[in-house]
Amino acid sequence: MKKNKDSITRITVAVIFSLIALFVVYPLIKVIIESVMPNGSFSLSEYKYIFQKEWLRRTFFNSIKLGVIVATSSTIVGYIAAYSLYKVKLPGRSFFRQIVMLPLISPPFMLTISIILLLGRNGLITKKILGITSYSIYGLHGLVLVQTLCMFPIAYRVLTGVLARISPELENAALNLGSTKSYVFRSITFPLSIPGVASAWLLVFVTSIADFANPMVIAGNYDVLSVQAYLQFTGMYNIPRGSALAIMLLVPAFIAFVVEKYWISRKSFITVTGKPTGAKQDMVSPTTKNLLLGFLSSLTFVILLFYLTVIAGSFFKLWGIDYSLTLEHFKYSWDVGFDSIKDTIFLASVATPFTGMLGMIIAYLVVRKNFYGKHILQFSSLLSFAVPGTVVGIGYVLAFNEKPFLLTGTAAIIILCFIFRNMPVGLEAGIASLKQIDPSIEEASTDLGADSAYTFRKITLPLIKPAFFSGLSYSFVRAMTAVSAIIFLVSARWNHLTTLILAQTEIMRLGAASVLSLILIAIVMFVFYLMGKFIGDDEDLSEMMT
Amino acid sequence: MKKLFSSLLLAILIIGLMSVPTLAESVNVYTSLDEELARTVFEKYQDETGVDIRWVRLSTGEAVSRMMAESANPQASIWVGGVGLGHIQAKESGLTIPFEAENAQHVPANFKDPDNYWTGIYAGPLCFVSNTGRLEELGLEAPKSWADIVKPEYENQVQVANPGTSGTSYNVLATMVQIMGEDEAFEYMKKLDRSVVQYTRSGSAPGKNAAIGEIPIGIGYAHDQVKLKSQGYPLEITFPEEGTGYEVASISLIKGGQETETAKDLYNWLLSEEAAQIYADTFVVPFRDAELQPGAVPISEVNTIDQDDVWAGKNKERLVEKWNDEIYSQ
Repeated sequence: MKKNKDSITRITVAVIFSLIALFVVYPLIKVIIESVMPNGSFSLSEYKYIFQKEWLRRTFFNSIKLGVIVATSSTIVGYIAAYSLYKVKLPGRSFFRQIVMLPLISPPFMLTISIILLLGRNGLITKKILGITSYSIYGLHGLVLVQTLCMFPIAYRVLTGVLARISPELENAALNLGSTKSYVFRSITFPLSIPGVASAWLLVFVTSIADFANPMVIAGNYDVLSVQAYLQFTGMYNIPRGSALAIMLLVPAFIAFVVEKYWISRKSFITVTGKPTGAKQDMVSPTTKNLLLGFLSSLTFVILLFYLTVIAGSFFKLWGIDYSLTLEHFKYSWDVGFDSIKDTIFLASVATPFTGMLGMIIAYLVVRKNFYGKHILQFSSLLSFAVPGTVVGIGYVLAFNEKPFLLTGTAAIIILCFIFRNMPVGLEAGIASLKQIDPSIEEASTDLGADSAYTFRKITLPLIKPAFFSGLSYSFVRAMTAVSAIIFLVSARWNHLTTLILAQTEIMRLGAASVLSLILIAIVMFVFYLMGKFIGDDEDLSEMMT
Repeated sequence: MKKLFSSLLLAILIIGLMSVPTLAESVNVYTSLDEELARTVFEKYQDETGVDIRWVRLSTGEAVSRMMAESANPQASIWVGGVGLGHIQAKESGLTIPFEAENAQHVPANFKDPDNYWTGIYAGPLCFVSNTGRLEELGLEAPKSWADIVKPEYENQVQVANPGTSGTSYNVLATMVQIMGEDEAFEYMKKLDRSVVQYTRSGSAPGKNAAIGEIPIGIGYAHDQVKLKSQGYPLEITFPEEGTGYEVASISLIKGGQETETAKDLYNWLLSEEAAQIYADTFVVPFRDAELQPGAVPISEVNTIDQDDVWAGKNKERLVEKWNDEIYSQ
């Protein structure tokens, strides 16, 4: 019996290793090779060229600068939001908590479209209400605004995890000993949350520099690496240059990611494992409490405003000029977008189950089994998180364009891209929940005579179901809203809704772009709702959904 | 609940399966035509012949890049539309094959490839397009010449695309070099840079932005602007008196395409009178006789330069790099 189990494990490990080597590592290597072999022989000329030319050099520094600014602003906003919603008893907490997470599941262009509709030169706020015509939202400032709104939930998510686990006992003890509430914050709460702050900052930094959708639309002349790599690769057919730019994007993202995963996450300052105990009382003065409430309300208001704008944009004939109501955008979107909608749902639906299964299998192997190369497997599985979509897209085109891996133009290349890019989501959820299950439960089952398959099915699987399904929903969302990798992989036969939205936004058909974004988010929300119903309404589990 | 969920999942998969291509005859197309025009044209062809057209819209540069990237395994059989320069580039890179369509005889000789690698379907001159409302607010007049538009009063009022990413804009650059000679042309582009408030990525964006009043003046192709004007936007179209460049939107068969025979039929149909009328209905001016929309400007009525597209194609990379160095990097 044991021998069988061992060989199944060994085979599975081997298969997983090969899959990851082929679909995660190989494309990356191809990009690196292309960038250092511009004329067929090894040369760093592309990199030299990029650093020599000002207009290329500045894309690198622009990206870094953008990342730093947005990481900082998002962490601040996220911290305030997390603190307000988990350390203070505010009215309407559950409502705020839901709204704050909205930007995470939105289509990538939704906020950009809203910003243009509201603050563009024909914007509702800028032109109609304030009468300003010379202000341009395009550029670094617009980009920072949009990215902060999009990405602060990432920081928020990390920080709630950290703040919620800081035991109130410590803070209560301090208060009992006579310290003021602000001193408690400064000396206990905040220092304990510093690893969370660092984690959040780094994660947003990576997300910001990898962002492709927002800069494509609203960056104006503020050139960034992700866009320029795309333009060089697809617009100028300069594969070496595009690849080199992609690698320059990869390096800071990779470093930040590794620092976060292997240095900061290890420094856990959590004082108590599991859920904190002890009475919760407000850690802030009434004045501060009101300020926080005001802040949250404004934040929520802004987020909802942006959503409403997109909804409104779908119905007005020509935003900024003709505010008559019309359904023509819906008709146009249906004509133009029907194929894309079908394709996108199909591709995402096919990819998602595989993503979930793969993630679970790897999670099980990593947590419960011991084998040679375990850490390498875990690391390379998470690689997809660290690598910007642009790099993946270029890598897949380079890697799978020749025999024996002729996949460009097919559905398979898109589905595979989804699976391996989104697998880390399911993987992390799986690892987290498996770690919480005591192996002795499984041992008890085998002791009572069940074989390992039965144990897995009847004991392990039901216990990790919530994590599995939350992994599934997030994988589906990420597949539906992917842009930066997908834009390289769409073809005449297989379209993706996000590419279509981008095209509509670029030609200023904001009405159609709004409608398509709404359709996208409706699909995503529907799936989320289904998943939520499936897991059941449990606050613990919905916390795990994050 | 489980049942409901599984049936919903099944429903989604069934919806998706509908998108799996049927066994009917089909052809994969890359098009650089305006999205709406492409849709109308291809739907008409589909209705008439029953052939399923799978198409994706790519800009000229993107299309050429795609074809180059896929040269070992082409994913499409024909490229429809796109600046003639791109088609010349594609020919020189060995990405296309010659084809003398029956209808090509109706296309004037200087608008098709002498070796039949590409055939023009319409020509569009470059022009200035101005938003009359914004002009009035700013107390400006619509520019009437290349010399006009670099005058100080137009500073930061103009939008044009980036020559590196847009065929339209490279056309402008190439035109200036052909009018003035290279050194003077680059001096001119530096002055123009002061007037330009933003270099857009797509060639048709400046016109659209002028139409909705985002900026006062754009540079683009006349047919795009005529169409916008007919939709009711307050626009004035002017041509530079020194002479202007133009694009020859063309079609080419892609080498190694899987559906070349079907593509040939489509190619020929795209040169027919019927197709020409569809183009004309969207405000472009086809080479074949067709009833033009009011306001459409035939190329014969515009002062165009003697354009050498082959030269322009050969020098594109060099000139774009020079532009990036001397002007875009400030």
